[in-house]
This record gives sequence, structure tokens and C-alpha cells, in this order.
Amino acid sequence: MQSSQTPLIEAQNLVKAFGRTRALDDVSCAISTGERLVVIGPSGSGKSTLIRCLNGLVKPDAGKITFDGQRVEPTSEGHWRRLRQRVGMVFQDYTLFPHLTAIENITLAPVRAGLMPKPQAELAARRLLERVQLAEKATSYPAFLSGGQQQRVAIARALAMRPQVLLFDEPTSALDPEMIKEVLDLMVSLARDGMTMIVVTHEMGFAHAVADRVLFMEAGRIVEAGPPDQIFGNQNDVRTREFVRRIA
Amino acid sequence: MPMALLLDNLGFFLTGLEFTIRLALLTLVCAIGVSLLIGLMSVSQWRALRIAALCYVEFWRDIPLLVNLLFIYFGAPLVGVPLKPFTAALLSLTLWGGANGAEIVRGGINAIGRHQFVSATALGLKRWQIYRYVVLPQALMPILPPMTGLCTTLVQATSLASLLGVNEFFRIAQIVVERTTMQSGHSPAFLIYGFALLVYFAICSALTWLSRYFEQRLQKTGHSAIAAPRGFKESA
Amino acid sequence: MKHNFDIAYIIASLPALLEGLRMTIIVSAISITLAIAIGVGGASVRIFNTPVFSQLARGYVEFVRNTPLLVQIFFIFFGLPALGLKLSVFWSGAVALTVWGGAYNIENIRGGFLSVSKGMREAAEALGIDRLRYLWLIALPLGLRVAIPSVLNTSISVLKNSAYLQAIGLAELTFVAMDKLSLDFRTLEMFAAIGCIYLGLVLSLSWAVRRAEWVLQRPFRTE
Repeated sequence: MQSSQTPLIEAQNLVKAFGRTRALDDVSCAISTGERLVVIGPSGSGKSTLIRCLNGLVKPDAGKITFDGQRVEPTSEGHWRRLRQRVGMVFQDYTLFPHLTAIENITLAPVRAGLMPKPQAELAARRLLERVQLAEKATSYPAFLSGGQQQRVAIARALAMRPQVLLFDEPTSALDPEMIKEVLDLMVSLARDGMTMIVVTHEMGFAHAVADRVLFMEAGRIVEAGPPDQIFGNQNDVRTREFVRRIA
Repeated sequence: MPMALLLDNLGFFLTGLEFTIRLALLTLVCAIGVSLLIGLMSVSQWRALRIAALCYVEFWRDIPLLVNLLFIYFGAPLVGVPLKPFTAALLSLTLWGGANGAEIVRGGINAIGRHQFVSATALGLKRWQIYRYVVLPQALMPILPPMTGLCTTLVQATSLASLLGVNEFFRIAQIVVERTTMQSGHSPAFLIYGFALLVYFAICSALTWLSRYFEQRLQKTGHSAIAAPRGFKESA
Repeated sequence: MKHNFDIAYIIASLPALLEGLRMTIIVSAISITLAIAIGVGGASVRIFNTPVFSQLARGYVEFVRNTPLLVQIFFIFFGLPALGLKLSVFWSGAVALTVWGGAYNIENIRGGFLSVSKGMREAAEALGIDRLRYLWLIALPLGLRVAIPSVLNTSISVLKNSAYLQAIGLAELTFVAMDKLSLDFRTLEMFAAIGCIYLGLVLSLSWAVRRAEWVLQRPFRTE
């Protein structure tokens, strides 16, 4: 898949410390439109912190973040809020709003952000529910959906804002094994439709199949970056090789 | 014969009850308003507001309600604002009820996990929108039961206004007891105060029943929190 | 009306105020202790569903929680003599506070017991431990741990509510202050004094509660 030249998001020299631990230690990365980036690494390596810096949920202590060529002031919450309409995020624990039905979950942000009026939003939401194959669950409350179904609704909710890029933070880690496939299949089909994505995951099969580039992180640093064939087959760094061997 | 005493004074009791209900309703409305205001202040992003809320709550909660009441009634004239007993009682109960209610509101908001807030933020919603559409609707569930308890306590606390001379229900009961004791020589305290207890019991039980009804209505929609996913961990 | 704040007056009033404080503490301490005993007894009876007693306990709790403490006090002091039960101002107050605190404690401790999961009871039964020993060795230590913060909070409330007893003439702290106030009209000084005393009492007791919670949590803390 051809990706455009100028990066959509670019992060340079990010540093973030929580107390005494450095979650991010001079991390730089970039993603271009249409690219699929997968981030792997052991827990505590800083993967989640990294992608949370890319939509402003975590503000780095140092470093520069550029979105579409425009520098983002790290402390400007207002700027981030507007940017979040273009950056969607899917969390490990799906965190649907339990007091709203599936369709209400999906329409809340577009309507309240002024993106579209309610009737139009509901139409779009229904189309999204069909896309994630949950059309019949539109009026169900999250408590009555399985984990896999909730995660798919969460993905639809993120898509409702028509983002330019989707961030995934270990989307299948909290799911029972039999539900992982349905979510991964959806993510694969989104990738096939050309969605720009950054995915933090442990699912190596998915990474190998979908990624244009893979980043391996350890202890707050990017150890190695490259196409999946390199990361999973012909590693440059011994640490990468050991991690991949452990996971395989 | 005891029944005769009650029936004779029935009209009298009813005017007292009317006073009680009026004071109670006004107090509840004002106290809930103050609770929301101070409760939201205590989770605000501005430290100054949080500290102000904390001081307010600690002060009005730690002092006995009676002392609070007497202080407002006797102290107000000193700052040049003499208060009628009814107003003093209303103000005092509102301040006290608001302090306790604020703690309940704060607890309810905090009970809604941070993930809900983060998730809504990631969707690009503004802070006030997150509270209005995501956090507060869910906070109703953990807030409702203790808030009902507070409301029944406030209704009961209207009886304190009798000590300031407000002619609410309990004061009427006291007057009837005193009058009858003087007239007939023996005290109907057992009967009259027993009757008073039963009336308050009826009112508060009805309130509690009403709130349980609303709790069940809330449960039917998805308001009780979804179960946390298994094995979830906050990875760095 | 110009009103200078007279610290000397407060200091001069201290002996009388401290006498009132002493009365407050004594009547509260007695009531708190008895209320805890009622709490444990009532909660046990409810948990084990002892016939008659369980329903009585339930009714007792419902009634006390839905009626004003002030009316309860008047009922006990003025009304019980009709049944031949003439109690002094002090003992009427103690009984009223005990009855009030006991009801709330039953719910507090019952909540503590309920938090001990059913699994524990089944495990104990499987091991052949009888009901009473289960209560004493397992349910009580675990359940009380959970209940202690709310029991202590109710106890602090009992202390605060002791002020109501001034309405029947008990010479506790508020009564003494109001009495002096009616003679000397030093409103601001009196309220400042008792305000500080109550605040100090409640804050230090709350601090003690938090310390107790922290200590109790030691088996469950991971650092």
C-alpha cells in the first residue's frame, strides 16, 4: 500500500517520566496517511504512554509533536480537544458508557461536538453498526453485550468521528480468547479499507499480516523499527530477537 | 380518651405539619442545589475551588447541627441581618445539608471510574460535556441511596426549628403537651410524642420508598456499572 | 452594634465550658460503648436470622432511622414516666443516644458481616466449624474490619448529637454556652469557643479513624 510522503503525525524526542520511572526516554516516531504501524514490546516498555501522547491524553515532559505539519502545544488542552476529533482511540477495556445504548454511545460525540445533527448521526451510526456487524444490537445496553461485541461498538464509536487515524491500545488483551478473532477480523478489514492505524498489541499474527511497519519498544525506548519481515524474521537487534522468540 | 385529645387538636397539628412540609421542601431543594455546587467544586480542575469546597464541607459537617442552628440565629443579628426563626432554620439546614450532600456527590462522581472520563476525553468532548452526558448520569446510581438518607435526615431535622420557636409540627406537639399538662394535671407526653414519632416515621418511610422506586427504574437502564474486563491492567 | 472580640472573656469562661465538655464526653462515651454492643448483638441476630429477634431488630432500626432524634429524646424524657420509667436528664440522654447510635451501628456492622463473602461461610462449614465459632473467629474479625470506619463515624455523630440534650436541660457543652450567652450576651465569643472545641474534637477523632483504617488495612496492603 502506497503511503504519502509527509507524515500525518510526527513525534520527536518524547520524554515522559512517572515519578522516578521513565516511561518514554527520547522516543521519536512518525506515521503517514494510509500507513499501518504496530507497536510491540513487553509490559512497562512505554507503548501505551506513547500512543496516549499522540492524542494528548498524556502530555510529554519534553519533545515535539506535529500533526499534519502543525506543531501542537503540549499543554494546550483546547488544541488537543479539537485534534481528538481527527484521532480516534480504542482502549483495552472498551469503556463504553454503560448508561447509554450502543447507538447512543456512537452518536454522543458527533452530535455534541457539533459535527452533525442527531438524525444524520443516527443514520451514520446505524451504518457503522452494520459495518461492525452489530446492527441488531443498536438499542442494547453495554451490560447486555459480550466483551467482543462491546469492543466492536467501541470501534464504531471511534469511527463515528470520521478520524484520520485510529489508535488502538491493546484492543484484544481483555477479551476472552473466542472473542479475539471477531475484533481482529474487524481491524483487518478496516486496514484493508485504507484506515491509518497505530496498534499496540501482543497479537503477532495480526501484526505480521497487517503492519506496514513494526516498532519494538523496551524500557521506554524504540529498540528497532522496520517492516514485519525484518522484525519477525531477520532482526537487527538481539533484544528484538529474544522478545519475538519468547512471544512466538 | 387519648384519641379525643388527638382529634381535638387535629387542626392544630395539621397547621404544624404544613409548616414542617414547607420548611422540609425548601430545605431539600436548597440543600441539593448547594450539594451539587460544592460537590462539583470539589472535583474541579482548579485547586483553589477544591480547597474552598473542602473547607466549607469540613466546617459545616463537624459542628453539631444544633450549634450551627443557634449560631446562625443568634449570630446573624450581629452582622446586621436579623433573621426570622424560619429563615434561620432554612439557612442553617441548607448549609449543613449542603455540606453533607457535597460529600455524597463527590463520592458518587469519584465512584465513576477514571476510564469513563478518559474515554470521553478521547472522543473530543469538552469537560462540561463529559460531566453532563457521561459522568453525572452514571453518578446518580451511587449518589441516590445516601442522598435519600440525607434527605430523610433533613426532614427529621426540621424538628430542631421548634427550639427557635418556629411553629412546625414538633413545636405544636410540645405546645399541646404543655397545655394539657397545665390544664389537666397529668402529661400526655407519651401519647403525643409517640404520635409525633409515628407521623415522622410515615413521612420518612414514604420518602425512602419513593427513592427505592427510582433506584429500580435506574437499574433497568444500564446505569449499574458494567463489570470490569478480566485481567485488565494499566500497561505503561 | 460594635462588638470587640474579648479573648479574656473566653478564658474566664473556660472552667464552665470545660465542665460542659466533660459532661458531653461522659454521656457520649457511655452511649457510644452501649451503642456498639447493640450494634454487634443486633447485627448478629439479623445475620443469623434468629426468629422474632431478627424482625424486632429490623423494626427497631427502621423506626429509629426514620424518626428525629430530638423527638426521641423528648419521648424518652417526658413520655416514659407515664409507664413508670422516670429517668434523670443524664440517663434519658444516654438512653436516647444509645438507642439512636445502636440502630445505625446495627446497619453498619451488618454491612460488615455481609461483606464477608458467602464463600467464607461455606469454607468454614466444610471444615466442620460450628456457627458460633465461625462468628467469633472468622466473621467478626473480617466483618468488623469493614464496619469499623462506619461505626466510628456513627460514634462521632453521637458525640455531635449530644448537643441536642441541652433541650432537656443536660449541662453539656452547648447548654453551658447558651446559658452564659443568655446572661452575658457574648454571642460571638461563646460560639467561637464551642465551635473550636467541637471542631477540634471531631477533627482529632476523624484523624484517629483514618489512622485506624490505615492500620487495619495492613494485611491487605501490598507495599
